[in-house]
Amino acid sequence: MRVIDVTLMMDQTRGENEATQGSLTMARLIARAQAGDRQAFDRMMIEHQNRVVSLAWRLLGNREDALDAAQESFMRVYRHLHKYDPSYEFSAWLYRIVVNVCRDQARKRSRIDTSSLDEAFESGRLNEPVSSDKTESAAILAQERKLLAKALLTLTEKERQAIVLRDLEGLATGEVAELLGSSPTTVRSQISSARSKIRAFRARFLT
Amino acid sequence: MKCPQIEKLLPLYVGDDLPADQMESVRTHLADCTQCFEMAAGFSESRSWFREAAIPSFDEADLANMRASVHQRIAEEHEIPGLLDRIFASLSLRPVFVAAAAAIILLGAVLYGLRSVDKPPNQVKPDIAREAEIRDGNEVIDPTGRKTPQTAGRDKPRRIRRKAVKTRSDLIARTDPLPLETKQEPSEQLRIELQTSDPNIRIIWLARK
Ligand SMILES: [Zn+2]
Repeated sequence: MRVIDVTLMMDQTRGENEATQGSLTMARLIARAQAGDRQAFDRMMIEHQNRVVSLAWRLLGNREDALDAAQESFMRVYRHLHKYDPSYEFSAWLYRIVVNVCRDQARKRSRIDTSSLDEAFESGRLNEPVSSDKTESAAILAQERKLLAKALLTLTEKERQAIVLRDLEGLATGEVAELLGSSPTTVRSQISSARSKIRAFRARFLT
Repeated sequence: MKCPQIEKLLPLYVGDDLPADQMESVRTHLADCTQCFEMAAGFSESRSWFREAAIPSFDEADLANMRASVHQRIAEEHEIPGLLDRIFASLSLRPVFVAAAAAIILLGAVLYGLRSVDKPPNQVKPDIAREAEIRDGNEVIDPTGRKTPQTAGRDKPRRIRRKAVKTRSDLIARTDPLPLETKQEPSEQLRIELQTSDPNIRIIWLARK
């Protein structure tokens, strides 16, 4: 059965002249995706893919797992899209899914934890492929990424989730607590602990 | 507040994560305390480093592959229902008829299962002078000929298998029986009595209906 979404096609045509996708709000995209429009679903993925893979990378610490987690997250979005309540912010709902997927994935491959950190680092599992233009800045960036991955892996899972959502994704403490199904007090405590560990890590490796 | 208390608050202070009154207390303390001020600066720097450290670049090809995998998995999830639809269409059957047929088959299976459920041994009628049991097609004649009301049912195989039914005609032919009698037992047990050519041997076959 083929459904031709005329309004979407019109939007696409217009979108070439206007700002791309500017005319489609996320709410409309989601509503269409909920109605089974795969094209709208694909656009929704394009809109969110960078933030999803970034969040997944920050929670998991390597590229391959991050892409797997992003794939699984969008599958869960697809399967549960009918349950999504549009009165809530879509990105918060999506973040919750990504966090859950990453938590599941981290538990499945629990071999990477703080105790096996150095081993993981040595074996190259945490090494990101260096960009093709091997400029000095690219090398520095690659080194920074390694250190960030290593810093993240010094944290407990809860601390990592809290600090990533608060400091890297910029959510308010209350939002983080809600997303993680925790209390603001607990989240503040995790954030405090995570910042202390990161400061100690930086003092050890970068100064 | 004293330095140790302030130090504990610094990780949250640098991210503006304290209540307003505590934020103010820390700020006042830092204005006068060099040691705590430097420590706060350290937290602030490491937080900035952490926030600004580059995440790996995911190029468009990686992301396109990821999305393609999602679409492929979605298509696969739709494939099984789609296949069923095609089968229904090719058979010119409506799913509702197929569902009804499946329900009838299921009901039949359930009824068959209920009928096959074992009855308690005391439901087996015990008045047997001589009883032959057929177990898996092997004829077993009770050599004592005594009435064994309790054990007759208990020793009997809990369920007579289909194989025994097949051998019945063989048995009839071999023993040249008098007219076959079948009685319906109250316990819904099928009772078949065969008089062999030997007037002293009467074969009684009890089977679940
Ligand atoms: Zn002080």
